[in-house]
Amino acid sequence: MFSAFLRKWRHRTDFLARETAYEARGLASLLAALAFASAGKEPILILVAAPAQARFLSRIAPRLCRASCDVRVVADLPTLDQCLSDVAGQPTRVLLAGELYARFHARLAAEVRAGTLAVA
Amino acid sequence: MKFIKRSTRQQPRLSLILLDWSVRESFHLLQYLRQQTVPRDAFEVIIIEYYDRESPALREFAGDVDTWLLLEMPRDCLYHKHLMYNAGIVLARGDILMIGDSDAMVRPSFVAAILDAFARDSKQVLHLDQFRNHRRDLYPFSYPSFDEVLGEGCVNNRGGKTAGVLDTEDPIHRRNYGACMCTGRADVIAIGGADEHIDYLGHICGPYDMTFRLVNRGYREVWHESEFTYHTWHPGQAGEDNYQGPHDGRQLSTTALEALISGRIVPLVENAAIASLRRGEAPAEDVLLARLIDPEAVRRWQAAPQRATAAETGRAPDRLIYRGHTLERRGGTWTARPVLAAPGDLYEAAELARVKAMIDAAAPLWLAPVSAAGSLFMLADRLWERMVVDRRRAARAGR
Repeated sequence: MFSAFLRKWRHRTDFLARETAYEARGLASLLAALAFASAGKEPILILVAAPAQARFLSRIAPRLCRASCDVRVVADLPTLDQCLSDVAGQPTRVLLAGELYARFHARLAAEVRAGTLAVA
Repeated sequence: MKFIKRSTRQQPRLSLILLDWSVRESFHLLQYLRQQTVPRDAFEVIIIEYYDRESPALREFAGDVDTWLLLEMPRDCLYHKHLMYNAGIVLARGDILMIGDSDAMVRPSFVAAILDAFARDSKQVLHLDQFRNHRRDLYPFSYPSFDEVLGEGCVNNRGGKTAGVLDTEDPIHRRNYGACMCTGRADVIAIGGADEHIDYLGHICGPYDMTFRLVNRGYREVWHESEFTYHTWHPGQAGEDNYQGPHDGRQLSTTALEALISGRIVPLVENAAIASLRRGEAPAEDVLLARLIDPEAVRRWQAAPQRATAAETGRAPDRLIYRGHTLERRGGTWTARPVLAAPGDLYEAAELARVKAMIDAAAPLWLAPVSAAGSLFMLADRLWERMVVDRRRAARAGR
């Protein structure tokens, strides 16, 4: 019984560590992309992030971005849809961590074609 | 290369391509294929073995196999499933191909469901998701009932559908792309077959490489809503201890994702036999088979060490993302371009390590501490979610 208990908790902590590492890696990629963003590019930057990443980035990203632009952070499809329609017609750049591409690719196909999607 | 059996079936509509690399302990899919509602002539079964083993588990189903080919690859050469897919594509006589698990259970309506779907729309990539049961007592496989597999121990049954099929948030990770993929043979030849790039060596690979490129070509990706496959636990599932090429942390090939992102249709490395078919050369099957295995590729695959990841070997793909830069190798030069950059912001060097050092040197001082703070935030956020939010939610639901 004790070994079953240990196995259960080992499984839980393993899962927690893996998931955290996965999201932390994506966050680091996004931060690095922001750190090297060139000034003078498109004035609006939409950051597509996982919910926990978005909670962190929404506090810090606008201050870190070297290029002075309007940074908006989104974490789900409805917000992304709203954001894209808000900025329609304006020069915009969309940035997302590579591992999130799978989740958003159907919605972002138009941005891929327009060449405004960057993947970190 | 050696044939144990060669198909004599005249005009099957569906070719089922099943793989082994001297690891399969059970081919019980073949038992379920005996119970299909369609006539047996409607489909053929092709088994591709990577090495030279005549699987004892397959012997009991030998009468159900139409084509059984041993590729006889050297034992020190890691398995490359995409080469096996291409062998199956070359040998297939059906207009529709099915690539999937040979140790899955399927219902009697399985083949009919695939044929019906393609009768309605031929320009599609059809996937069937898989119910997975993790009960250890179902191993070795002893033909449990479908209800048993869907019951206790099933990790993804949501009211008779898989959690993946119902998922709209992250379907690429939550659905099983390797369980069962079906598409037209001519269509898959038109996109150059399965990509034999070294990034797909070992466990990180799958028919989704072809799915993504077919989608880029304008085909619909369709997931069947009522027909599924069923899988029970066995040791070594999910590629434990296998060599792994570059992936996104959730076992999805970043090379395949790159194809999806860039809209690429052609494979990075095309098989010569598939290329002959694509060009419409139509040589005899033996000529095609002679072109199937590239000796130079075999040498490269032999050089990849066993039981290691691509990262551990230091071998890098031709394109990768590093600290906000896209790194690409063209000719003998590595080029790094910030993903949010104006044209002209470039680093160049002959060696990957040198380019990475240039990026590290140019990184602002705040990047490392802020990334570390971000990691801690992620951990705290997850713990908060798990220990507080989930409990509150459970308490509310119980009230």
